[in-house]
Amino acid sequence: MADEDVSPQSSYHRDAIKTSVHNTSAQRRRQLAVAVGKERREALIRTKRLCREAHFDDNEASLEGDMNIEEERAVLNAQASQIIEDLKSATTYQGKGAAQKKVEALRALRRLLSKSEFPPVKAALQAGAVPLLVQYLSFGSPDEQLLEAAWCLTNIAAGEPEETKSLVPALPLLVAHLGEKSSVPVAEQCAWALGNVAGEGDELRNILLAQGALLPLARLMMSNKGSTARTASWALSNLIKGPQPNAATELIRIKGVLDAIIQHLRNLDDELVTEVAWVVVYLSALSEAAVGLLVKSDVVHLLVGKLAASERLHLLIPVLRSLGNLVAADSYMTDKVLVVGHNTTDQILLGLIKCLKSEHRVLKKEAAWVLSNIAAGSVGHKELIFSSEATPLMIHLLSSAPFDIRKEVAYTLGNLCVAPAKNAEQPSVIVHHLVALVNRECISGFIHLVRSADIQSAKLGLQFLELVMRGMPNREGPKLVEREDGIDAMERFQFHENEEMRTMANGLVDKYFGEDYGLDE
Amino acid sequence: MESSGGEELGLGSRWWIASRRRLMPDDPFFSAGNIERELLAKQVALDLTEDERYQLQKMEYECLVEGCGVKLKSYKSRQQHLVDKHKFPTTFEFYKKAHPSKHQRQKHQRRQASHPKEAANDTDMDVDRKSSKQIYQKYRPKKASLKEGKEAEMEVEERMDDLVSAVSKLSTSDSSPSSISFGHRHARGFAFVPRSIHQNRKQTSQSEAKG
Repeated sequence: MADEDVSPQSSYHRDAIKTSVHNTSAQRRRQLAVAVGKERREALIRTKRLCREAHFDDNEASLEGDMNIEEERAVLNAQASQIIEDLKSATTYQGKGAAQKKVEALRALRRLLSKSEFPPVKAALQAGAVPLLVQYLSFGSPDEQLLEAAWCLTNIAAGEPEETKSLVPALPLLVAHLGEKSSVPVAEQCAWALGNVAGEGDELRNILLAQGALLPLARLMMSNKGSTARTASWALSNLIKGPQPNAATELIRIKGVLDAIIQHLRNLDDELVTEVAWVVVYLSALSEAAVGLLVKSDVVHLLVGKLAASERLHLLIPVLRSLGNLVAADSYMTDKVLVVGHNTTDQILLGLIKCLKSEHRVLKKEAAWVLSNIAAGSVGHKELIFSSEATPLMIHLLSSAPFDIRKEVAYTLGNLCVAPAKNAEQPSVIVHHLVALVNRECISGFIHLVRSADIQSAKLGLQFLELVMRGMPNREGPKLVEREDGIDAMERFQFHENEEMRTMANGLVDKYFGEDYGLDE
Repeated sequence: MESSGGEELGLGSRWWIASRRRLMPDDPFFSAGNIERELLAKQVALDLTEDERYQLQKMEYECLVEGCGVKLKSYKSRQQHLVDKHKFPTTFEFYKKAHPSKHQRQKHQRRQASHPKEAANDTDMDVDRKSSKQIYQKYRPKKASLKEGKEAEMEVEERMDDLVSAVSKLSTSDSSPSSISFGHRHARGFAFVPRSIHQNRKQTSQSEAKG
């Protein structure tokens, strides 16, 4: 609906839009959709105007566009080569005005690499930009020069993988400038360049770690200056994201890091909080040491506060995920931190409920995941979740949401119905919860899962049906399952290639729908 | 209940066993939430020349509601107008990034098929670079690791679906609590620099510093 239908040429929606106070809900939706479409086009036009670039626009002949691109690129490439030549000769300048000339040439290169749509990075590289910029980065140079040189390297590193990799010769010096000998703006710009390098991939991350980038970046992260802390946090998140856990483990061991994280999470600047939250995401996912420290610190309480209070998607995602990682990793969370009755616990539930209600699929799904893990806790936790707004929301999602959300919600709802087992034997059913869910027609949602192509989900569905058939009072379970075509769903696995599924499904059918079935009636 | 192996325990069992499930950061489970973040894997440091800044200042922001025609001076004041005059939800975040339409995507795919070499360049400019750049920001992330084209397209699909479903789910109530964001990622540089007002302030100070 949104995209193709809303175009300037289409008059289909025009007549319907009125700005009177008697807008119907359909009109309102259309109005909002038109507004969005209009804004997008506007953004495209703006870009075009400023960047002089041809778009793949529906209304534009792409051929004509191509020619403009070609010409533009040729010009930019030539400019790049020229500036590099200027820079080369400028290295020999001495005397009055030499420093200024160097800075001006660097600035020209920087502008070339940052303002246009097709920055001539390759041409610059071919002309020898990197070793040249390394020269300009030498210690003792004026700050302005260092800054411009680092800025150029930043934008080269922001390009294609090969372009980022071309920075390898510059890495040691960039790392060196992270240290206290360099001014803060220079260190920050170098951090940015290195963040781009780390963002490229594993190989470069390992090189940076081997060259000792972690410690000075961590120090910068502790800065009181917002932009420095933010840039360094972002760079760190790229550096430690794994999949190897060693960088994350090393980071949390650095003195002052945890305190800095705590301090920054209190900051009013959402952008900073977001970056730091991503650091916590990776720390909590990859480092057991970090998990142990984080769950005992103020971090949890601060994250929960943000979860409950913020409306911003790009902040909520790492906050939610950090909490999810911590809950998943350490039972300390449900045992000691998220104790039933504590304020933090109430708050996290509110935050998770808010996410369940969100329009954003990501928030719904990951919130359900977190809830499922809390629901794997004590009976008290199950009762808390069960009696909250989360349950009706999840029941609704079980029947209406996209598959991935349904699956997570299924985990949560099922977890609410079983008490922790003393051994790995048959867990006991929390009948009160099970009955409530069954009465609100959850069986069909789980049967739907049984029918899904995903084996894991199908198993989940079967396990729930087992609960129903075993746990529902008055042996009502089998009847209810049959009513929803459960037998049919289970019989799908009768000759299924997966042995486990076959055994499970057939076992259930035999046990509950065997010869004796229906004889009581 | 122990977390590691809990999943296996549950899977291997006939019975439902409630156990925590732990996931690694690169688990596909997280990939939807990672989309924004992936775009920020690399960030270009942008700056505007005086000309461009002047051009931007001259720019008008027209009201997005058909038939209104009012022109506002800034993005923010336009949003305020939409809230005040047209009763848009206050937490409404407009879609700041344009995505290619299905037609464009198909066109792009055809291009890729017939001009593989050129398309290799263009692939990088497909979804995000070609479309809107928030040029009044200082920071603009370059397309980072959308290496697998198919995955990227699926992500676009997902975002389009999000947009579609978001629009279809729009609440008409003004007191709608949730922020309606059309799959908008504050990404593409927003991570570092928030709103345009804030950015203009930053711009000035930056330009002073950098001469």
